[in-house]
Amino acid sequence: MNRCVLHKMNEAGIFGDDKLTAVGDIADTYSYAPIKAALNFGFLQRKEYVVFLEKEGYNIIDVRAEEMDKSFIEECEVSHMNSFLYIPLRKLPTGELLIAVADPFDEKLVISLTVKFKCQLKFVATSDLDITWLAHTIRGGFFVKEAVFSLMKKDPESSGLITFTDSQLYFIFGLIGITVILLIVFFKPTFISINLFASIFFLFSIVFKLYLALTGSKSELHEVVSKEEIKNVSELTLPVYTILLPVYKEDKLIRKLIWNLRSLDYPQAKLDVKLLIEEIDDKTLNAVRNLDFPANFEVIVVPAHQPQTKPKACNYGLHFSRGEYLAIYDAEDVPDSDQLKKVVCQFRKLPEEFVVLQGALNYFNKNENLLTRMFTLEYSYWFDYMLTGLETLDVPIPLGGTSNHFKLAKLIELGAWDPFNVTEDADLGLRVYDKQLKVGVVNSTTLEEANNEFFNWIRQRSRWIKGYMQTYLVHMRNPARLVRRVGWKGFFGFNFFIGGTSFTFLLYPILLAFFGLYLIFKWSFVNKLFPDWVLYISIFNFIAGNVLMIYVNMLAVFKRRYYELILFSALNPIYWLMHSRAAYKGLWQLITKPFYWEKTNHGLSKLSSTNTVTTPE
Amino acid sequence: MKSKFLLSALLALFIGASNAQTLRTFESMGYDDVSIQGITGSVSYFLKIKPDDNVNASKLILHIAASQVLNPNNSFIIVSLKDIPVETRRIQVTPTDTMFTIEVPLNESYLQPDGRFIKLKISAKMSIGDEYCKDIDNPAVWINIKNTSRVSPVQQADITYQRSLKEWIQEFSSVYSPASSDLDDLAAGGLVYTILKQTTSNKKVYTGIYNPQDSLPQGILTGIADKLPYNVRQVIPSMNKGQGLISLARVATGLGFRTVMVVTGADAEGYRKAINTLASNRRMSSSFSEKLLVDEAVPSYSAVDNQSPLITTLESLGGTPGLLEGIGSLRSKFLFSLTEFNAIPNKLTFHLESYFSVLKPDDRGFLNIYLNQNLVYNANLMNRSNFIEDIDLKPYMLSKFNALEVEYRFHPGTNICKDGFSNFFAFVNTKTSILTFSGEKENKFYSFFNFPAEFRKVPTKIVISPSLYNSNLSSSIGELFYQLNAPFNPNYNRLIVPPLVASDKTTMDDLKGYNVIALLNKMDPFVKNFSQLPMQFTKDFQIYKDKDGKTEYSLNDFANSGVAQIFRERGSTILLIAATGGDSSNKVAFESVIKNFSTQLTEIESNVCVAQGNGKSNYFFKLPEGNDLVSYRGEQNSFLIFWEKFKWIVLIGLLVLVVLAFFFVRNKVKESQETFKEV
Repeated sequence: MNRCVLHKMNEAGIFGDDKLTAVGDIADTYSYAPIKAALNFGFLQRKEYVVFLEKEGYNIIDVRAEEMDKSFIEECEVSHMNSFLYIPLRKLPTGELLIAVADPFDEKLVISLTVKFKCQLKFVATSDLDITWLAHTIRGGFFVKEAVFSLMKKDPESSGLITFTDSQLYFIFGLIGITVILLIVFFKPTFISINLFASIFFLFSIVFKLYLALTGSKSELHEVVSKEEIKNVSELTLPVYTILLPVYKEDKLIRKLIWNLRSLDYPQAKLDVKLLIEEIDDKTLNAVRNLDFPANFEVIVVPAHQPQTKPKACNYGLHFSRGEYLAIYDAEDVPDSDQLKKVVCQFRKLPEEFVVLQGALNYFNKNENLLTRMFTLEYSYWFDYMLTGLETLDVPIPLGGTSNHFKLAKLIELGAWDPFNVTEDADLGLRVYDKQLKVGVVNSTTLEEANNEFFNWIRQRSRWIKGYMQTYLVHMRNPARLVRRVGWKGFFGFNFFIGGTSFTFLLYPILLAFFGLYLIFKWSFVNKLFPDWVLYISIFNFIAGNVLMIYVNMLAVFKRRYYELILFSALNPIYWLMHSRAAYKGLWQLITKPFYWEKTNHGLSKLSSTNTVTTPE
Repeated sequence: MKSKFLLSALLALFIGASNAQTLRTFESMGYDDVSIQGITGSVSYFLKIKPDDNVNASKLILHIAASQVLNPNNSFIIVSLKDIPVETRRIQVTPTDTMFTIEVPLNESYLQPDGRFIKLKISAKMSIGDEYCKDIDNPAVWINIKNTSRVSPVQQADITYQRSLKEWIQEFSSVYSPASSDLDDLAAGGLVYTILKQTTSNKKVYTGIYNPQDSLPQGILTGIADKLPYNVRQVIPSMNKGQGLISLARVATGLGFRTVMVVTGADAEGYRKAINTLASNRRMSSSFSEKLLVDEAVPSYSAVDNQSPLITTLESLGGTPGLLEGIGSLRSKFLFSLTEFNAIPNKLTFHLESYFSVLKPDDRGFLNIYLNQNLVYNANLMNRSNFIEDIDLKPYMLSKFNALEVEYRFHPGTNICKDGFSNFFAFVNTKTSILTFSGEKENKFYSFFNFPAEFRKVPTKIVISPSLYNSNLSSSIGELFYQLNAPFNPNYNRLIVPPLVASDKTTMDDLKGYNVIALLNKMDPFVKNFSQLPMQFTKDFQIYKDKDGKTEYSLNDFANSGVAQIFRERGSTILLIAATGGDSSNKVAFESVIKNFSTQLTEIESNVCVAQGNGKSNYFFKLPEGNDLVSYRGEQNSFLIFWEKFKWIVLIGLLVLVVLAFFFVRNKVKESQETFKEV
């Protein structure tokens, strides 16, 4: 390793030899400046480093406030500036080029910059984070455009930029128009038909979910990786693993994040952790700056560009990722400590066409309040039953939230995430199927923070449901093509699981209203609209649907032994009403603000994430 | 005693001069035209003989029509009185005149032991050809005994028996109430109407009102003594306070004397005692006098217990023991109604006991049982001499009024009867043959089928709007009383007469535990107590057909339509009757609708009856609770009217909105794409 500030610190006795060696190895592996490796892989605390520089006579300047001649910056690659932590500022009257660096003692950097700029250089010390911020915001333009438009250019059919195609609009409004005409001309039969269709669809959609859950409960689908296998895996053979952590105003979670990452059982040098911070998010950036202990992640600043969505940030981060595999976590996630090793082992065992593994999600604050309990029930049946059910039936699996583990090369081949889709994970899962590749399920759990606040929950859920609608519209642009690619089973599965879910939520309050009217007004009102038999069928469907859904929720507790939640299953109808509220919000946003990312606030829970993870066996 | 008889005779003569002569046809005695079809057959009549009839001088005049093709040499009619043949005649008519008359002189020996009836039997044996047996089942073999046949009496001064008070009442055919009536007057008028109508079911009873200053009407006058015409008050016996009176009165008019009957009282209390006495069958039938002063009489209303199983002998259905004899079809018909029942019985068993002649080897004989003209049972009579079995009849074949027929069908083996005895004879034991009704089907929908049983089983009150008191509703009340007591059973001690209450002096709480028959003016606020009314008659309404939505009935006759509705309200069954026209106290409308719903035969599932007072049309509807078959003009109808008028404009408006929504969404979609156009 070339001489740098770390050597000086070593000589001063504040940076050990072993650390120096490890940092050197990492810097060589990743082609990073030693100081970047030290700061991003948990060897050096930023504050400690600043103090040392100041002792050495360097004044740490606020480089973002400095006057800049961008022509010099444009001569530099963003990845180079990002890796070696420098930023050319301007020519001084003396003829020297003023360059802000994180490590003014880095001899290799000094030489390479002297060669590059062919003039006298003057170095000033500054924060690595500010250099990163400047490098990305000034020179990241190309990559961010790639992040936004790459999929659209590569595979416009799969891009969600167009929410509704013209033909979809004609179809939907044509259908509404015909329904209106029929309602006016043949009110009763039309109304009865709509009601029957809605209630039968409602029941069928829930029966399908029950079927999935029962199928999922019977099968142990995961390529189970034993503890022994994990123990025996040689760390030398483990590949570099990229972890993307897209965050936005998550300053309160940064400390937690570091502890969570530290608990991962994976060689630190092989963890390529990227904290993706938005350009405008100084809050989070400053939180990183003010840490009292070494950080074990690299900050990537995502330049401002619409749409400001998580998939755009991830796509941007991809350009700087070094790993063979890639995982996405949210800032507050607590994955099983052996999750990454498990994924590596499982990928090695699975056929080549498996390009994604979905980990189970659950909540560490499940008993915090009613909402978190309901959320936990929902996630339990979703990840422990539904996904396995979908996999058994070979129906497209919509990837869920975080804990998705990809083969990086294949991910790029697929066009990565759709930045216009607010449930980019679900969409990507379907695209994987579309390309004849496979999604697998890994039996490892990541604990998240369940949303414990009503309006926050509505915001989050409205985004999810809007995303499902987006995904449905994108993939149903050409139903015939979808059938050709995923088969009839996949097609119906997709329609009932992705389309049906949103539609059911929209339908639910209407059916509930009719049921309520029936109960309140008895025959005097509702019976005027429906003959008895229609009413009986509708009410049966509605009640049976609700009861089945409660039953599915009750099933959910068994794999994880959350028996204390079983009675809360009965509250599912209320939980569904909340979904309906979110669904209507989502529908309105789909029309008016399709790419708007409803921010979910994290870190609201008063409970810690130290609870043990119970991954179902 | 002799003078009393003489007075009676005089009175009877007087009444007879105006009433009796015209009422002595078979029709006036309640008989229709009756046919004898087939080669043999007979019919029987019980003819009323009045006490002042000189039977020995009277004649029986029979009007008979016969088939023109009968062979006079082989066709005979036999008239028997008290089962003694008195006249045999060949049946001979011409193609242009099918009628012939038989006159039979009467005499006292033909009277039944009570002296009040003569039993007449008309038998016939007929054929077209020479051989009777060839004409079995030939429909051209018939005679028809007309109900214009009559007893032609000759009056005498002496009387042969003393009339009961009830028989005196039945001598009249009109009842008059005071011009300013009250509830007691309505009750009295209704009761008298009922008693008169019970004489024969098709008797026309006239109801009217009297004013003291008008000329004296001919009939029965009801009313407290103070309301009676002065000249009547002069001749009736004096009454003490609290005394009631039912009495004949010979009243002097300007032209002579007129005999009327009065139901009155010294005061309201006495009047009510007289009314209560009217309702007592036993008392009325056992008071052989022209007048009855009543010191004490209890109200007559009591609910009849519905017994289950209900067992009825054929005899109690009017069957008389007698031999059926002949060839071909030999039938006995028994009529029964389900007025005792609140719903169709769960089970109906017919236990038939009959004996018959043994068939010869080549003969064919069958027993057929018909219920409402449907063949429900059939048995071969070969090798049997009796039939004693239980037959289960299907309850769903029952309607409110039913006919059960027992038919023996006999065909001799040779088809030649002339040369030997070939007749078949059978005897149905009407005393031991019984109909057993068990249980009742669950009553899910209240309809007119529940009337009158529902109001006989459960204590009932009749609520009347005060504004209807002077509407001469005696006939309507009378019809209700009549139906509540139908079929008339002379063995009942008392008539069922629910108490009458004024709608302005009663509340729904007072009616708790009672079923209610309400005769209301359509504007009576009491109507508002009924929230479950199938049809709001206070508004003009239309009733739609269920399937295609076309109007089936629209109220367009504002003059005289009556509406009756039966429904459940607060655990009680309500029968609400009102007139819907502008004159909502229209007597004809009330009477018409009551007659209609109480005699409906087929629409047993109806709960609303709309009848027009002119009697030309009446409609029955089944309007279940919460139905959408009725629409009203007025507030609710304004929407429908608006809808019918503007629905196409609404459609266009909605379609415009759909198009606008389309452009809105499309515009929003394009807008969101525009943001990313500059790549």
